[in-house]
Amino acid sequence: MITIQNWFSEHKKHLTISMTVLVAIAYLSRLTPYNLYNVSMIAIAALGGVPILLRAASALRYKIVSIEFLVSIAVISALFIGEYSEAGIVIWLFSLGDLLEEATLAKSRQSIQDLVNLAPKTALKITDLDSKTSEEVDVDEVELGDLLLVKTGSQVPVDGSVYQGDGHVNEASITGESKPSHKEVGTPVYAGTSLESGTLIVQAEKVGEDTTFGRLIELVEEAQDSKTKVQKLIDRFSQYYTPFVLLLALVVGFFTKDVRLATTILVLGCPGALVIGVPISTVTGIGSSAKSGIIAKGSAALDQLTKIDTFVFDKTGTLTTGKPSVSQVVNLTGNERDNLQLLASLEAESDHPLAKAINAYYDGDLFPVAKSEVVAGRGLAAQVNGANLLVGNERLMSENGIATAGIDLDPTGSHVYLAVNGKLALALAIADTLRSDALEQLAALRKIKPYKFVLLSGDQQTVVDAVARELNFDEAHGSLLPADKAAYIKSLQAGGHQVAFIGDGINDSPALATADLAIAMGSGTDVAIDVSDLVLVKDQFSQLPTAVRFANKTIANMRQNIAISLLTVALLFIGLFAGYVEMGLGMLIHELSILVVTANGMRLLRLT
Amino acid sequence: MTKVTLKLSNMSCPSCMTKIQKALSQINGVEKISVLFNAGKVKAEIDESQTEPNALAKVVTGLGYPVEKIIVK
Repeated sequence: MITIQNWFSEHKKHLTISMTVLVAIAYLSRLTPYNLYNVSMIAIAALGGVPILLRAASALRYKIVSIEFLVSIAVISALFIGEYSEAGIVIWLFSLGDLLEEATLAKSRQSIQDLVNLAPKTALKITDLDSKTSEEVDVDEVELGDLLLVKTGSQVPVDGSVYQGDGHVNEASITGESKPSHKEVGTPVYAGTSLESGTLIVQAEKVGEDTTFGRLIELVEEAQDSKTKVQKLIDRFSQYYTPFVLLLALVVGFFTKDVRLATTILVLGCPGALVIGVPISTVTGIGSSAKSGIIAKGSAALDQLTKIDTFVFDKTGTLTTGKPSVSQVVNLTGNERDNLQLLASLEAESDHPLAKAINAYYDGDLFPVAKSEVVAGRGLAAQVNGANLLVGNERLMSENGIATAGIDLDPTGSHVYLAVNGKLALALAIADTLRSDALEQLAALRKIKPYKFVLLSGDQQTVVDAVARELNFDEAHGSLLPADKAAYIKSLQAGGHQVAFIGDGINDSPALATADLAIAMGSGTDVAIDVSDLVLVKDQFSQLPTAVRFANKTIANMRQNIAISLLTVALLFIGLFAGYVEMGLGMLIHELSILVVTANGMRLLRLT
Repeated sequence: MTKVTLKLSNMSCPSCMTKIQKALSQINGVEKISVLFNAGKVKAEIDESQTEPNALAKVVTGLGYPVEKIIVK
């Protein structure tokens, strides 16, 4: 019986086309002397009815009253009382609807399919390390500890570490950072990232669904099937609804002796739109979000996002770029460009974060450094281009008798001074700068809803106050430990606020766990995935207002679909008892309502 | 406990979900069943002293949903 059933499901399309042709024959033959109407209708009922009957029977074996069971009884009774046309039409519509549902659902799953397609499928497994020979294997067959060859332009197939070679890897799919990161022996690499230059031999540490990328996909898959409270309620309702309809039909049939009425009730018993309406919004909404780099852990997370009235931000790496850069330059003697050139020449040799910031700021020719020596905790002393240089902090300058007082440098940054031949030439402030679009995007967020913005940071109060002023925050608190942040969020919640916490997902787990909604920004790392409800994979601030808009639209769409389906059920039953709705028409309305909710849900696929 | 994932070729109606869920929950030693309708996957944890992955696949196939792949972890 299983094989027959499979044969039917494989040929579903052909069967439905044949039925459609038979419907056409039935109606056209009425115009000719040969009336094939009833014959065609019986043929349709048989053709489409057998697979439905088989499905009903297999479900019944597990004591499940399925929709197919209701349709089967309805059609058999209709044939029994000679209503061939009703039986045929119902079967045809039911089969057609089934096919359409399958097609539209496949389309609605497209966004997740696109994501899955990004996952690596094959790997080059090293068979002989000395000659670097390898064979192509399915990524599922890779075992922990295997050595894999990754060539330029191909994907890293697993999470692991570099065993041999070096190269640049684009990790945008995991961290949102599109600047290639350099990998050498011992550094970690992630599945789904791509090698832009060089050749690597990678040792597998995590494979398949255990990799960071695999977990992201799994998360989205599970999120798409997740349920809000309303959906759980509907599920429970529809579970009892189908057997209830069967009972109702039996009772009505028994008392009225009206088989037609009883069979019509059975057909209307398919809860179709109600069952499919909310899931279709979930799958399209979460899928579209995922495609835009917004990974929601479930529809409940989206639902919660629509209820938030307070956003609490972490500062470093969230409101700021997390990378120090030159924020202020004060030139004191000589030409600024020349001074910068001297400074950058010296700093080019250093790995210090402040030195990196200076070299990112100055983009030009460099002098060779003749002699340089580190003055511990203070800076550097060197000879460049024939000049004696001192580069470092206030302390270095004062110890060498150079006054730095009276220079108006930004108090929130780190300060770097350059003295040329004993004279102060240049002063720089280097700060972790705010994201360039932070102000604009926060304003965009407030346009959606007048949110309260709170800044909680471990940084000193003066720095925090400066940021809060610039970005129009309602409150800002500095010098906080992670536990203090969590306590503050609790006090906000006690005041009746729905709080979302946005951090980089690495620190702040207590705050993330306390908040009503935890949002991790700009890092699709393991930790971020674990602790947050919403991961904004792309490291862009604009993702935040986008996430809120997507959530609002998805939840609104769900509500519309619930309304449409409940209205359909109500209308059908009113129509039925008022005597307007017959079996065929009932099935038509039922299928139409499914198409309407599906079409409505598909609108979410076009979210941008 | 062993984690079993069944990959199905297609699931068109949400009612298939409840069908599969109910049918599997009637097997002894099967716990934590989740039917991922959109991903076309069935995940469950089984006690291998009471049942085996193939038994799950047989039930799902019997309901009319061909199983493409069984992943056991």
